[in-house]
Amino acid sequence: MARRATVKLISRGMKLLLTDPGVKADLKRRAESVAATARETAPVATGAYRDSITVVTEVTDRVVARVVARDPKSHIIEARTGNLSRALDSAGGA
Amino acid sequence: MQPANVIFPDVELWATTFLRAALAARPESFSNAYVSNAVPQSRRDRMVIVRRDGGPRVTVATEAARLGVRVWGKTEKDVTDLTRLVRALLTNAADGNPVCRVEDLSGPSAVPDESGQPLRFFTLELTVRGIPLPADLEP
Repeated sequence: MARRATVKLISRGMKLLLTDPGVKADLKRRAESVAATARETAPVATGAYRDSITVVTEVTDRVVARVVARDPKSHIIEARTGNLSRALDSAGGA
Repeated sequence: MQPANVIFPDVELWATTFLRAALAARPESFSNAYVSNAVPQSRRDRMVIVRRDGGPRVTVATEAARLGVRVWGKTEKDVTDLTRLVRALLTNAADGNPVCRVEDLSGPSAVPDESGQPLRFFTLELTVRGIPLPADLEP
């Protein structure tokens, strides 16, 4: 009789994986790639928006890397151009 | 190995065609809106402008298409109601042909617009099914 395979996640191991320095480094590398693309494709008037695009990393229950634009015009530019959204493709696949 | 020879649909065309029909079928007065993928030369009181913002291939036969949706209305109330309706219509549009799944990326938010017209912006990700590449796209 065939036996069904089961998967049992070990919470402690998963937590270690989600906060692993290697995972953090990989996320940061991908986020930096997205930020670089976003800066390259940013519309430039004064350069303030382009120069405000940075990467922020933090640890919640897992490591997180965010690409942020801190210029006050950022939301307007995102609505008009989708610059950050388009740059996400630079994160690459697996 | 190269992926199979699949072609994906024009997601902006799908979204604008779908929204025009879905809005036309609604009874609300604010559902009477101009729908396109670009702001027209002659602005309208109500506009829904859908833009493809990238998104990668996910499997051999599916891609994840990101959409940015801008909605303009006559008043704050008008644009809020129209945005809610457009979002609801799009997030319930997955029937497998070609859209298999719709996920919110960012909910509606007010954006200042140089026209002075009230504007909302939100983003979605659509999982879209491709079809085998035909011998001729213009039969």
